[in-house]
Amino acid sequence: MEIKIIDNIYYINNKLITELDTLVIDFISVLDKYNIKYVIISGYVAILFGRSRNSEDVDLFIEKINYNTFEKIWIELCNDFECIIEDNMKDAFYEYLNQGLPLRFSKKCTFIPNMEIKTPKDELDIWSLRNRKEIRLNNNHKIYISPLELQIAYKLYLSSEKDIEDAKHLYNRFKNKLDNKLLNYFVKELKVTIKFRKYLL
Amino acid sequence: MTDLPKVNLKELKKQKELNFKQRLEFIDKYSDWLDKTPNKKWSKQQKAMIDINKPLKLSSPAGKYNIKKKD
Repeated sequence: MEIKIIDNIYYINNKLITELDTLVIDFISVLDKYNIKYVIISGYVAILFGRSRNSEDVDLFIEKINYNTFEKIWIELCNDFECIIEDNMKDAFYEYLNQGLPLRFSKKCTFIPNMEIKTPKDELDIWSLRNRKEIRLNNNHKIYISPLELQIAYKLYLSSEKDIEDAKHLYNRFKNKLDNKLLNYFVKELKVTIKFRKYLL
Repeated sequence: MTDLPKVNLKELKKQKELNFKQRLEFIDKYSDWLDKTPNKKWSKQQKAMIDINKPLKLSSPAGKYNIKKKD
């Protein structure tokens, strides 16, 4: 696997694009069009870096937006996607997104995979949005992901077998490139030191 | 109901732990392979694995089956 990190940007070239990548790229192109800040936080991060598994959803935080902006992205998304949680635009905004509840969008006439969007709830979420990392996929697509140090520690915190495997995969990939101070901070704060030593080292 | 197997939870737990340990070992092996494999090659395998589950189109919008919060 060849990943170059230049000026804090991760470059992945010559990757064959999967259906899951296409879902992500198509969805975030709408967010980009309206300059909506987002960060992908899910297992998709591990998959993007080569993990050998699929996913039924891709989780992302978007910054808080007003109804007018939401209306624009909703209309644009409806060309290719549908919201499988709520089909009424006003309810989707006021009863879900604005209340901190997630919305799921899938490609038309499909349930899975889907994009699960929510707004940041706590300091960790906000930090991950503010400190998101840029990926350049095939020199063409820009994708923003959560910093790997947080991603690894958080996966250990979630602690299902799948999450621990994701954490191990990411740690194996980047162990020489991580900010160890930052990683240690999150490992300590999330109280996953024992799991970190047991599974990752 | 006759001849039903006895469930040995202690043994199952041991097997589950062993299985997880083996999966983590696989991730290390896979990681070694990724290290020396060009992006085009590993992503070809990943694409084959992911795209085999290409989403099946429903006959009507999935939203038709919405389970709303208020329901």
